[in-house]
Amino acid sequence: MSRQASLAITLAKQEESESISGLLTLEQEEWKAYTGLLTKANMVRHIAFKLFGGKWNPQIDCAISGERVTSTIYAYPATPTLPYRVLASYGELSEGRVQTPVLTETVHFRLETEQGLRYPAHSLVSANWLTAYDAEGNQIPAPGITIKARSVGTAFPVYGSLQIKYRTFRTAHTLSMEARDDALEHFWSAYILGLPLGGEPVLLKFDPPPTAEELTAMAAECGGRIGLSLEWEEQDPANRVTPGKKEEVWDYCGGNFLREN
Amino acid sequence: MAIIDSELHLYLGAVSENPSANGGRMTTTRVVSGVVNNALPNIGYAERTEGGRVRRKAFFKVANDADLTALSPRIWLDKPTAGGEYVFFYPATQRNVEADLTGSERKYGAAYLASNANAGSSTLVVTLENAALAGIFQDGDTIRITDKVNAGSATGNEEFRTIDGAPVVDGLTVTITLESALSNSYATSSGSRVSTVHEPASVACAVDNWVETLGGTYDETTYPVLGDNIGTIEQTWTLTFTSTTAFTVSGDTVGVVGTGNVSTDFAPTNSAYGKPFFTLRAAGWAGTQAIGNTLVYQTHPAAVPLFVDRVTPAGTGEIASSIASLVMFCESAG
Repeated sequence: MSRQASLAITLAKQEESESISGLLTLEQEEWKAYTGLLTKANMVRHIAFKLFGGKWNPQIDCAISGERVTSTIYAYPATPTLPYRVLASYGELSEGRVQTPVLTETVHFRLETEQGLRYPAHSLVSANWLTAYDAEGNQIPAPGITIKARSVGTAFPVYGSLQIKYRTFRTAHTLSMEARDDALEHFWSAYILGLPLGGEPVLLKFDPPPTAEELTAMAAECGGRIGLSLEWEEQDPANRVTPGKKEEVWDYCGGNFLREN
Repeated sequence: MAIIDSELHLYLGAVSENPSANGGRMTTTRVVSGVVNNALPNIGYAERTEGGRVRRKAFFKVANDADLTALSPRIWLDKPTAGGEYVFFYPATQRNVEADLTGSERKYGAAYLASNANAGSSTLVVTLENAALAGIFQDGDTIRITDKVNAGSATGNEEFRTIDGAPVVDGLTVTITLESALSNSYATSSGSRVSTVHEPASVACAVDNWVETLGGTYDETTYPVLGDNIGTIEQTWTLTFTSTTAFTVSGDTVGVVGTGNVSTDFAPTNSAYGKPFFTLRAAGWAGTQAIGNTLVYQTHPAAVPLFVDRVTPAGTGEIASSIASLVMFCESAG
């Protein structure tokens, strides 16, 4: 069964008088599954190596790159035209790569007229009220909404849930740092600083990979290396006589050798 | 498990003969090391006499079953060829073919030391196989210096350094200044050589070019399509709803790979490897779909594409056989 209803939507500009905070949001990409995973078996091996000596086998699981740890930092400006800089207190931070992902978020109203969005919305893809009730508890048609960069509002208090799909703007920066030396010496204390023009600085503490401390202590190098040989020959021409080699000419019709050198 | 040596495989591109279409996407044809004609054809009399050039697309694939990302990958050519022909490589894209090459691609190769280099020295002098290889050494490049007998040797020295400043080219001689001094000494009599190192981005499966024409939604941010280091291929997938809940999925080169529904994770099997092409998660679906709704996206394999280029100058002398060894090194977290 399909249902159709009209929904009034207004996209409003961020007002200049709005707070100078919140102009920029920084976020670190979550570590992928298995990052930093340390098996009990390898922990036992590591302890054994510590106690009895021996060489750590690099071909077993460990958690951080032998040399570097990399992570992606996302910067979400309130507007795509906002000038800003992103700096790292430690490690190397790449230039920002512009991305415009479409995000889906469900916003819950509890008889309020405004709710925040997780990221700045720069264009709306879709909006759909899952439920909507007024202050008296009566189910109501989809209320109109107004979207500002970081919030969505209604004209009157609503109790309900709004599923909203919007396109945001962000830059992705790769933060790369030495795992064994730099990060260790600084005890994973790196932070990322966002400086929006005319706004308040934003600080994000770098979240090291899971079990980073144990793994750094192991200082194990993980990885693979393979050398593959592409091989060819330099063949003799079919119509060339190698000196001193017998040449035979076969008569296909007569079935005899015509000449032998 | 961490990525290990045996999980780094080399595969050929889809086309190896037709010059204009030569290259293309990664196939399931794996290059077996050390086998004659495993990637490059023999060099015949005519090619040695008149000269010739052969390119082959190759992909270093990270076939790790835990789908780990290959970090800090490095790829280099171990040494110059033994014959008069010379080999180098350049980065490619997952789909490009020989006709797409412009000639301005960045070349990576190897050259023998022209004079001994002592520990503590910050200067290297190498001899190029051919003047056309002058561009393989550039300011800021990572280079590998070694006196190991071959790519797989356990003994011998090896170190990586960075080129500081534009190398000075004089004919076939190139003088290279290093950012930091050598830790070991390298003698020309030991076959010491220098390779430029290609350092691509981390290697992992990827999904992009997401286009929804749906009645409902799919939340690819919270529930991204998952790749599989072994099974994922370069492909444009089109998912088409055949009812409000069921769909078929077709790839632009592999055709229909199965049918699914919004209540179950969809992970069609790549029969070449017994692993999924991808996993589309049921949790990502929301809203009501209609017959004919589509979802299009591309998957990219965990592989580094390259073009290997062999040039045989006119008048090249004859030798029995020759090799070019490509080496990939990477690290992993996990």
